[in-house]
Amino acid sequence: MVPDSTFASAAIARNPAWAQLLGLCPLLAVSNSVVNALGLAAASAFVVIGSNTLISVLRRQIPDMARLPCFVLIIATFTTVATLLLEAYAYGLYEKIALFVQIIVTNCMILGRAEAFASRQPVGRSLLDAAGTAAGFALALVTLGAVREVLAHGTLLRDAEHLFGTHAAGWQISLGFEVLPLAALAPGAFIVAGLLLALGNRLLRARPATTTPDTDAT
Amino acid sequence: MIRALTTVVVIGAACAGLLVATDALTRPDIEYARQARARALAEALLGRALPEGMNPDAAQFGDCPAWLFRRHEANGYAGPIDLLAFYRSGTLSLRVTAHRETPGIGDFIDHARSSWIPELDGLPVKEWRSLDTVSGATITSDAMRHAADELAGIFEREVSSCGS
Repeated sequence: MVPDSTFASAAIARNPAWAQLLGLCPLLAVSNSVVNALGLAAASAFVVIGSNTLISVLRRQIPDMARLPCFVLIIATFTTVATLLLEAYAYGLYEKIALFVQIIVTNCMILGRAEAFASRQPVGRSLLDAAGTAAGFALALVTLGAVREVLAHGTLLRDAEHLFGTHAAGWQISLGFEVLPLAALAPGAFIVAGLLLALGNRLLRARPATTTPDTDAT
Repeated sequence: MIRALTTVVVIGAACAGLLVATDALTRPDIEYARQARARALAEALLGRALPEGMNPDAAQFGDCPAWLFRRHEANGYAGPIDLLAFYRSGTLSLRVTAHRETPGIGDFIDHARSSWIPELDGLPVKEWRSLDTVSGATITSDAMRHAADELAGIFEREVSSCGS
């Protein structure tokens, strides 16, 4: 497997949200707007890329029987750092999504990639796999966030200043209609996610089957 | 076994070091953001801008205060509940500035999620002490009632000592 396919495989074929259905709790809870989705995607990317790279660097030093405590320590540390950075530099967004940033530490997607891939592969490939996993999760989050925000509020990028600073206050795009206010609530999240999942399955299954050996599946 | 334990201890120590460094780096910005948030909430409760340079932590207006602010911490179900309290003429208003209560159950205390707290704005102090418990969130309700009782006592002492 060449490095490029490591990234693409992690992002698309083994997309943590749509293909493996991992991390659905924060995915559904936070994706009521694009900005919230971007915030969680950035925090998740920081944790998965940082922790998996470090685990790959230390993989020969960590004995088998201590690997899970060590992985959890490293992931929890990166999660806490992400929470502190969010609170310091994006306080408005922190107030909205802090709870779900803190529970990144329990996200099976991150521990899964650490155990199945980063702890067995060299740093370069682990970094690509983590970046692909982060990109796939971000893609799922932002897609769901955009669809829900458009359906529920008829806007895109509302409250952009919470993530990008005061100069982003005018970035909101108003489409002038609110088709489905339910989309902003939990039941709407399940309905929209289910429809996007069905669409994703339809598109992926329409593609010819790949022959890539699945040696590192979670 | 010894090697495994040593590895966990070494990685744990390195993680702790990283956390201490990050905490030191972000603490001033976090405190500034919290102060700005408290000030915005205080101004919304007061209905006008706070005097320049006045900190909403234990702020008061005049020698014999017409109104008082104070930040306070209550013991919630899942950790501390940070409060901003506003006292004016025997009435009390509260805003929660940070909490970890259970989403959907205990987060009714968050004014951004529920109208429970804003509807109690300007409630006489004695009525805060006899607030009804919210079903399903007994500990959170008790924490708020207890905090209101403590704050009311502090404010009443400050006001009664004025001019005596």
